[in-house]
Amino acid sequence: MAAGRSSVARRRGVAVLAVAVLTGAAAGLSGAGEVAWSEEERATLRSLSIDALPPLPASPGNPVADDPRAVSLGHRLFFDTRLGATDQVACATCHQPDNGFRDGLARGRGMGETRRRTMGLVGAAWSPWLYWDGRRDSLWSQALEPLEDPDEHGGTRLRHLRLVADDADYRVAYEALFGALPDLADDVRFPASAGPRGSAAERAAWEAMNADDRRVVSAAFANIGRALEAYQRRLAPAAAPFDEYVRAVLDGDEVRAAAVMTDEQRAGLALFIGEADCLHCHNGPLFANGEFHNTGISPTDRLPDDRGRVEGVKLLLDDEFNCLGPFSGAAEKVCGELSFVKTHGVEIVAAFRTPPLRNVVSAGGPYMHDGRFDTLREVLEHYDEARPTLIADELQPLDLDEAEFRQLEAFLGTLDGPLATPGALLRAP
Amino acid sequence: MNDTGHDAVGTAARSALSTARVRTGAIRRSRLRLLPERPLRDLLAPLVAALLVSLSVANAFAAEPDLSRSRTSDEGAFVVSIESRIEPVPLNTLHAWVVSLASADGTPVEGATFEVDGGMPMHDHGLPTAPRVTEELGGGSYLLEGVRFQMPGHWVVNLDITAADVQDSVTFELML
Repeated sequence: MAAGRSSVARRRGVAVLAVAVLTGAAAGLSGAGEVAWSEEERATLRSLSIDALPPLPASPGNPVADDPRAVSLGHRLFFDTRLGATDQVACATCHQPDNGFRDGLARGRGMGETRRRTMGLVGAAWSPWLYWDGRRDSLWSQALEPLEDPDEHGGTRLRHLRLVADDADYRVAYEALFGALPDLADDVRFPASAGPRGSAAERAAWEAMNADDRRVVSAAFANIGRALEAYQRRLAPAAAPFDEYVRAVLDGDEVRAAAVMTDEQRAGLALFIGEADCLHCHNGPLFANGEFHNTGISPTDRLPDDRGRVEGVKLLLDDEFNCLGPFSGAAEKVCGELSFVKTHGVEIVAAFRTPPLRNVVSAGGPYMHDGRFDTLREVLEHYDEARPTLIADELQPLDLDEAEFRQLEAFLGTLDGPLATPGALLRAP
Repeated sequence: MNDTGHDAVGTAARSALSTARVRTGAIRRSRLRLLPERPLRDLLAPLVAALLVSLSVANAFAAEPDLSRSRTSDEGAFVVSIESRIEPVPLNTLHAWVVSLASADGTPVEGATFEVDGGMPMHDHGLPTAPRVTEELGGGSYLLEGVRFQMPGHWVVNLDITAADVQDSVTFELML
């Protein structure tokens, strides 16, 4: 290894020189720290650009996913603290629009403390799996679980349904989208609060209901999730400085490119798509592959307490609200992700979903599924070290030097950008 | 830091080692390694590489992957071709392949069953999905659904094929 200069920089230097020789003029346009991208690298940049983001994918099982009336209802529900068991927890309690739809905490906190860090929501509609362990396969089914989780909203499906039925605005909006609400007037058949994850009394009340009534309540409850999905589908990223840079590079406009990203940021980008191997998981225009990886976050002196995806996939298959379940309504052939889901394999043990990196700096820490790192620098050091996971070794140590740490961090800042979401949807209605 | 030559040998050997594991299906089995594997693997890699070269079996997974979409199976029983329904093979997109199966003399083979396996030899993981043949299309063609790749790089996809009394395997390599 050349003294005083990292191996990464040395290898890149050779590559840049080769490209410069081959293309002649290209290097002449660039400043001292300019990076001349190869054709392959340009293709990679294009694949990461916001311009490569496909249209919103279809949502199997949600026919109102793109209905503006459902967006409006979902928007109101999202900010409504009455969805908490004590009228104090809304979706927005943890998914705060001003904090990247996160809460700045290592573990989410609703009625109690959750097991993992609150995930951001921007771009979630593009992911085939939701939650860190992917235990839900649609945004509409995902939205239902926190409503009944004792540590989050702590409610029950019957209580939530009564809220919608008893609020005149909600009732009108719901019935315009989904048809008549079930008649809940008979409080013997339909107790005030009942559900499979409630208190002992609420669970008993749920079990005491007849199967048809339970099915009717669950089907209407699923519609609450559909409205919440319609709202969350509107939470999408817009162009960040990185995207402006890629546009300039692909246009061959080196002057504009140099104005958008600094030399340090560009060096960080070169590392990101090259030697640092970040694309392994953080690929595509959301910088996330939607899959599950064990990156050695769990303790290395014992087997992990949180087994991540390997447990999540079991929950997914058992989920009554999954794509193939009785409340979905989706045709089997559009449930491909669930139909071909990987259910076994050492690589899904203690594996967690890759989070998107857009706005990773502005949203702030803590980072990782358990919120164990407060700063991005700690995250980068974790990947630099790539300690053995005891289970599956996907990572290799990076041997980054101090300058390279700074370059990577600087590059990540270029992913901070606005949302392609109307401002009115980013605050309470 | 390895010098370049050493690194290349180690890389080829790691690739061959991991590929062998994928091809034997071992990666599908739960194996909790209580000791870090990497140091051991690095230690053994040059030896194994030399062994593989001497046995002339390393050529199938040499540094330059063989990206041909039509291959003869390991024991020569079948000629197998794959065609992705989406070209080029996309990242992060569930898609289907059509697998065409013929005997060594080119006769289409019908009524075959397939077991699908694969992964990224360099990264010690399998496929992110569980693809399977869902439909026989006729004329020796089969629909393989549920294929998805979640990262760029070198992938292998292995098909264990059974037709009548004949069993054989074929491994395709892809660079994404």
